[in-house]
Formats: sequence, C-alpha cells, structure tokens
Amino acid sequence: MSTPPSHQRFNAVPADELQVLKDRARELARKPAQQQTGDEIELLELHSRGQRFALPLSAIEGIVQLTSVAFVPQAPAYVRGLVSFRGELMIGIELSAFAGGAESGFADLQRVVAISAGGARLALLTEKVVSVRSAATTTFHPDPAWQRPYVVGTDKDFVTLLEPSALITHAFNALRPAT
Amino acid sequence: MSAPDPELIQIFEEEARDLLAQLQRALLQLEGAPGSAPRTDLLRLIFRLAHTIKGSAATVERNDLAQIAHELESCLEEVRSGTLEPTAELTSAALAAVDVLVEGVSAPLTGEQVTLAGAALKRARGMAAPGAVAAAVPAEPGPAKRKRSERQSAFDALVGSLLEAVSRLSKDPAVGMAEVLEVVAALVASATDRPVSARVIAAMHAAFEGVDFTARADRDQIEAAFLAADLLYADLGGQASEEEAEAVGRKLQSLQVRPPRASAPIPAPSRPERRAPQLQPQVDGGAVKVPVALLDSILYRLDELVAAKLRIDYQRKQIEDAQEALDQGVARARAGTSELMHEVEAHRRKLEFVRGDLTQEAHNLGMVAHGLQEDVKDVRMVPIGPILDPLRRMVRDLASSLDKQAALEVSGETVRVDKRLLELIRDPLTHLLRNAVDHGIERPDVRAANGKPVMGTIRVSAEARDSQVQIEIKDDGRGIRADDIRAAAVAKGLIEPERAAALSPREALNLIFAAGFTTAAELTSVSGRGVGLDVVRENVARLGGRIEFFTEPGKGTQFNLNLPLTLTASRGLLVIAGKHPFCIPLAAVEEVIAVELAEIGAANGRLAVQWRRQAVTFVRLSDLLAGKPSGRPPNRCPAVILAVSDRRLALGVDELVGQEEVVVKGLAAGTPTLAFVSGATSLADGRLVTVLEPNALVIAATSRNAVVERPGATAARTVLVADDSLTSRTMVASVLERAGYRTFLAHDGEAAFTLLSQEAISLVVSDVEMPVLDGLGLVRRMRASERFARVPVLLLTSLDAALDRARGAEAGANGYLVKHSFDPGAFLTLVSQLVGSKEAR
Repeated sequence: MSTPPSHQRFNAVPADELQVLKDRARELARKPAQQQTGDEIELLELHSRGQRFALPLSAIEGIVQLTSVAFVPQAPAYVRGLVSFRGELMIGIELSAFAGGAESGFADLQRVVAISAGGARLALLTEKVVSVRSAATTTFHPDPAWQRPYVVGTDKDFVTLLEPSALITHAFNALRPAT
Repeated sequence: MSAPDPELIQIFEEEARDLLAQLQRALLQLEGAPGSAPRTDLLRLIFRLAHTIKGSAATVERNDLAQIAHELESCLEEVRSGTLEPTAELTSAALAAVDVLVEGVSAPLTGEQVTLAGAALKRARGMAAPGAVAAAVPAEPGPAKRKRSERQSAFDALVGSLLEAVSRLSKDPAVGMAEVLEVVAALVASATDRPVSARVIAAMHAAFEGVDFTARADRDQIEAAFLAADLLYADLGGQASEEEAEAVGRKLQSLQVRPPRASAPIPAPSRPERRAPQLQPQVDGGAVKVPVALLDSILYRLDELVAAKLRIDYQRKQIEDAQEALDQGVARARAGTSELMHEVEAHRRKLEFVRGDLTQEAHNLGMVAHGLQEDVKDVRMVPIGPILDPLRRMVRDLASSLDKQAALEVSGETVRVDKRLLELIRDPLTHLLRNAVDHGIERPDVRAANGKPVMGTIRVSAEARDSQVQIEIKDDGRGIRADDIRAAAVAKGLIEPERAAALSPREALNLIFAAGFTTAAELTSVSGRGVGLDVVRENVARLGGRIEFFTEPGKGTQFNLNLPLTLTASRGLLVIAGKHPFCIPLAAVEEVIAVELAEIGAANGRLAVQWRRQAVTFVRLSDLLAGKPSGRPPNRCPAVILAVSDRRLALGVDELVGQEEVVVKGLAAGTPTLAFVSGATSLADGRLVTVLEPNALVIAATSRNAVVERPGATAARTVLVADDSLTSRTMVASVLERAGYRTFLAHDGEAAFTLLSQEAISLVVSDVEMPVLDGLGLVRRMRASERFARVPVLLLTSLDAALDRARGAEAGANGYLVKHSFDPGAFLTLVSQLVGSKEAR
C-alpha cells in the first residue's frame, strides 16, 4: 500500500491521540504569559543619524511623512523649521541634533513624529520610525557622562529613552529669548 | 430634589444672554421712541422678552432671576397702561435690573441683589413701600380686572392653584402629575371668556390625557405645564397673545402620548424634543453656535485636504511620466516579439485608465475641498452689529455720569467680519468711544453756547471695501487742538518743550499715540488696564490693520480703523530672501519698488532710501532675519515698503514671487513665540512658507544699527546641489551659502542636468541614489557632454562601501563624501578646492 499524502495521514490517528495533538497545538498557540511588572511601558523607537531613540507611546500624537519645512530665522541649528502635522503648525526639531548631541553628519529626515505633553506639542523630525515595543523602564540606565533632563537612560542596545515633557520644555526654553 | 440638567442650564444661560441683550436694546430704544406706535411695539417686545426670561429662569429653578423679571414686567405694565412715562429714571432702573439679570445668569444672585433691583424698580414706579419684592409666583393673580364675576374669580383662583401645583412639581417631579391634572380638570370644568386661556386649557387637557399621574414627571412635561400655567396667569392680566398661546399649544401637542392598550403592542412614544422651543438658542434660519476654535481646526484640516489634493496631482504627473516612458519603451520594442508587445500594450492601457480615474478623483477632491473651505470661511463671518449694540448703552451711561448728553448712531451693522476679529476690536472700539465722550463731546451748556444741539452725536459706521472693513468713529465734539496736545505732552514729560515747539501740527497731533499719553481718568475707566491710544494702535496693527484720525477744532474728530475682513484668508506677498521663501501680509505692504545699490544712503544712523520724498530705513530682509550681514548686496533688488501704523520700512528682498491668497496658521498652543514669525501658510504647490510679522520687522529694523556692507565678502560661486531629500538639499545649501556660495537646487539628476544647461555652475554636489536619473548617471552624462565635461562633481551620499566609491570614481566624480560623517569644514575645504580647480582651467 502506498503511503498516503501527508495531509491525509492524520485521518488515521486515533481520536484520543488527536485530542492530545490539538491540546498541544492550542498550548503552543497561546501567547507567553506577560511578565506583569509595574514599570513596563510601550515605546516607539526612532532612528536618526545612526542613533536610536525611544519615546513612550502615550506621548505620541501621530506620525506623518515630512513633506515641507518652513524656515525659522534665528533659531538654533536643531530647529529645522515649522512643519504641518494634520493641519496644525508645530516647531520641528531634529531629534539627533537636539537630544543626541550629534554635531557632524546630517540626517535624511523623512518622518514627523508629533509628541505632546502638558498641553504643549512638538514635532520631532527623524529618518525612520522603527518599531513599537514594550520595555521595562528599569532597563534604561542613566549615563553619567551624558546627563540631560529629558534623557531617562540608555539600554543595552544603546537605545536612549527620552522623557517627552522635559524634552518639550527644554526645546522650547532654548527658543525663548534670554531674560 | 434633583438639580436641573447641566445641559439645560447651559442652554438657558445662552438664551438668557441673548434675550437680555435684546431687552437692553429695546429699553434704550423705548427711551427715545417718538410716537405711540413705535412705543407700543417696543413695550410688547419688552414684555415678551421679560416674560420668556421669567419662564425660562423658573424652569431651571432660577427663582431669583424670575423674581426680577416679574418685577420688570409689573413696572412696565404701568408704562403700557399710561400710568407712567418711560422717563430716563425709569429706563435707568430697568436697565439696572437688566444688568443684575445679566450678572445673575452666570452665578446666583444674593437676596440683597434681588431686593435692591426690585426696590429700584418700585421707586421708579413711585411706590413707597420698602422691603422684600413680591414673590415670583404670587398666590393671588394680579393685576386683576376691576369687575369680575364670581365665576371668573373662581377661575382665577384655579389658575393660582395650577401655578402652585406646577411649582411643587418642578421642585419634586417624583410627586407625579396628579395634582396638576386635578387642577387642569377643574379648569376644563370651569368656564372662561378669555380665548387664549380657553385654548391653553384645551391643549393641556389633550396633552395630559392618559398620562400616568403616578409616574415621575419628565422634564418636558414640567416645562410644558409651567409654560401653560404661566401663560394663563399672564392672560389674567391681559398680557397673553395669540402667538404665545399657539407656541404653548405646539409644545403641549408634542407631549401627547397614546395611552397603552391591552390588545396591541405598546408603541414607543415619540421622543419629545429635549429642549423646550423657548430654550433653544436664538433661531435665525436654524443657526447653531460653533466655537471659533473648532472652526479654526476645521479650516486647518481643510488646508491639509487641499495639500493632499496637490500631492495626488503630483502623483498623477508621475504616472503620466511613467506612461510616457512606457510609450517610448514600447516604441523601441516594437520590433520585438508580438506577445511581449501585447502584454505591454495591455499594461499601458490599464495605466491610462488609472491615470484618467486619478485625474477625475483629484478634480473632485479639489472641488469638494474648495467648497468646504469657502463654507467654513463663511461661517466665521458674522455681522458687526452685535458688538456695536452694547456700546450704545456704554455711551449713554458714560455721558450721563459726566453730566453730558450723547447718543450713539450706528450704520453698517450688517457688514460681516471674521468673528475672531470682532472679539479683538471690541476693546479698541470701546476705548475710542470712551475718548469721544470723555474728551470730545462738550457739556450741554457749552454746546448750546456754540450753537450745537445739546445732545452730542457719535456715529459709528462700518463699510466693507474689497477685503477690508473700514470702521469710522466720528463725533461732533470739540475736536483736538495741536497746541493742546503739545502742551499736554510737555507737561507729562513725554517731550522736551523745544522739540515740541518744532513739531508740525500733524506731528503734534500724532503725540496722542505716544505711550503714556493717557489721563488718570482713562487709567481707571478702561477696565483698569490703563491703556492708551498707543495700545489701541498696536492692537490694530497686530490685527493687520491701520488707524488714522482727522480732527477739526470746534467741529469734531474722526478715527478710521482699516482692518482685514477676515483673519483666516488674506492676501500675502511671496518673496525670496536668503534662498528661503517668505510671505508678507499684503495689508502691511504699501508699495514695491526697485532699489539700486547706488541709491542707498544713510539717515539717522541707518541705511535709507528715498520714497515719496521721505527717507525710509532700508534693510535687506536676509540680513534682518540673520541678525547680521548675510552677503554682498546685489546691485539692484526689489524692496517692499512696509507700513505699520505711521512707520515705514524698505525691506530689500532677493526676489519677488507674487501675490497669493493665504490661510495663515498660527503655532500650536504652548509653543513659544518665534522671532519675526507669525505663522506659516501652505502654498498652492503644497510648500509650507513662513509668514512674517510686519510689526516685528519694522521694530527690529528701526531699532538696530545701520548694516554695514561686509568688505571682502566671498565672491559668489555657484554650486548646484542635487538630492531627492528635501532636508539634505537644504542642509548642504545652507552650509554653502553661509560660506558665500550661491546655490541652485535640484531634486533628481534629470532636473540637475536641466539646470546645468540654464545656469553657470561652478560645481555639482550630488547624491547618488535619486529617482529618474541617479548621481552616477548624472556624472556620466556630464562627462559625455562637451559642455559640462569639465564641471567638477562631488558625490555626497549615504553609501559608504568601497565598491560604491569605486563606482563613483569610475563614473567620473571628482570627490566622494559620506553623509553620516559629514563635516562642514572639511566639506567646504573640498568644495573650495574643486571650485578653484575649475577656475584654474
């Protein structure tokens, strides 16, 4: 007797064994139990000039393609200009230049990531948006050599977690005239 | 007892404010009403307004307001019956009562406020009795007819009982309709010779027949019952009209519920309107109040819609280009296999269909977006009349307090302007009118002595002209004398006596706009802000408008405000400065002239040009925005003459692009103010362009030192930057321009090659990965061309592999830099070498 095709072989399996197989398949299909830790948050990861940044997803208003930038006179170099995000005008800053301290090279900015915190909104201009993932905030460790109020820390993959409210505050403070 | 629904309270508050504004206007008109007919109509209107306010207030359990409204009704009844004349004292008392009502809409009145308002009205009526005001829902009906049959007295008593029952019901709906229904039944059984009452009772009977009197009464039932009871009460005094009866009848009719029947499924009762007709916002063709902020948001989103349409247009163009390339390919392959040809032809036809569909969709989208834009812009336009109405009262009261007589006449009330603009010009208008009363209109004895009418007249007129609205404020007062202003300015220490004496009459008069030129009275009367005409002028300028004035001593003074009709769409002048496009609001542009380098002189320590026989400060826009000289000025350039109030500035630009209708978007809330920037606008081609603030430009230019041309500036070299990335192009161009190079930008190799043909290019800086024609293809084409073979090319790319560098060299590039390690200094050194190498040949 010839061997039946593989997809028909299961027809000959006894019912009780078939049930075991089904139970195992169901078990495998079940998502692994989430390790519920109090400090786990969802993050949006961005890339800019070779640097990787992350922001809490809760602060993200949206992401759109960068189509046009209006020049802002007498602004710091990291302020690339004014951008329109779903009809609303925002200041657009290059993330790597402001938060990453990048002083050389430049980025092919393609995306506008609008963030909001404390009633203020800011547009971050970046090369690409990579992923959304969960991470424990405890995995980000401050770097004593790079202490900024808006930098929470860096993880083992060199992803820098930013604090949105402080990021906006400091970006705006740098724009205000010195008193 | 359950509190009224917050939504109902909000509706009441909005309605009450509208009604009180109308009431105030009517009272002011009553004071000066000439004949009996207009007076009768006004009284009827006033009664109806007060009656509605009373009813609405009672519905939301605002008995404090209902009490005052009731007292107002009673007071004006005596006017209606001829017992009292509508004197100034009576009108003032009534207006004071309205003021209290206005104040009470937002917050409950104290017992003292209610008592005082009622007492003022009583005094005006000549009543001596002090003390508490009569209850809003009196147990006894009144004013009553002198002769009344017993039957009528019984009917009247039932009406009183109905009012009490409805009042208890409104306080506690859970008691149910039993008591109300009992009284209604009694009223039906009674007879009345009043047609309005009969009609209302019949409507009540029909509406409440079959109502489950043990069930909790709902809001609509309570409202209807109150309105009906109140109208019956008003009819006792002969104050109810057929129209009111009809309105109440309709309200009652909407409540009619079929009683449940055992043999048929219980139909769901038609859900009555949640809002009583009388509690709806003022109906004006079905208008609805929309927050201006929401309109702004809609308008900005519409702008994005238009931008999306433009992007679709661009994509359609790309499809057209692809089609064209496909056609050419087909032509070249026509000698190939027929099977391939068929397939290609099929794809070509399909592409053609898609292109056609996309074209149609883009067109439809554009039509819809444009229509929506126009509709939303239109929604923001409201007549200017409503802000002028309260000013009548203000003028009257202020004149009275100064023992003067003045009346405000208004024309052009139907001129429609942007609602936001309306809110913003309220303060400047108020200030100008206060000035007219305070400083313009003379006292009655002085006016009489000068042969003028005792009553001073202030006329406010509005007229729309093109995209502007001109508001004139003209008084027939004493006018302004230049010498008086001179003396006052010297006395306040604003100007030295010698300088004041040297001023021309016009210059002296303009001192009224000087900061600090205010009187003590003004500091306290204008909301305590201590504002003067300087602030008025600045506020008007900030709105994109202008203020000017004319005066004739002894005759009067006229102020003209020229303002844009709308703050949303306006016309802008597009210019290029420092390679960046900017938009300057056209309202601030007086003229555009051509300036030769040789014509630029110096005046008052600044560069200046002659314009209409006056020296006007000149500055290049690129210098002003950079805060420093930004390069050698050209021999000739266009200059925009900016006008802000009475200041002028000649703003040199690199290029004039043209005029466009623009929608200026402001920055998101919480964003810090940016120097010289009022916002941005999207152009027809989808680009976002910064809109400059004329006031800031003029202030900065006239307060800075003269711009000295930087000697030895780098002679212009022209570099072509080709990159499909907007930010990369901009970044490289800005580095080059700061170093004194002139740049041209291209978004792909094909566009770059075209520019090469049109301009004298010293160096090409090109990305490698670009659409249409990549960087390597561009280099090869240049090397193959006799004309461009020797133009140096520097590749600036993100490709860092050795193989990529080799390909670049093989194609003929003269240099290769990688973006992620871009160093401006090293870049400029290389550029200089390459440009120099070309120069050397």
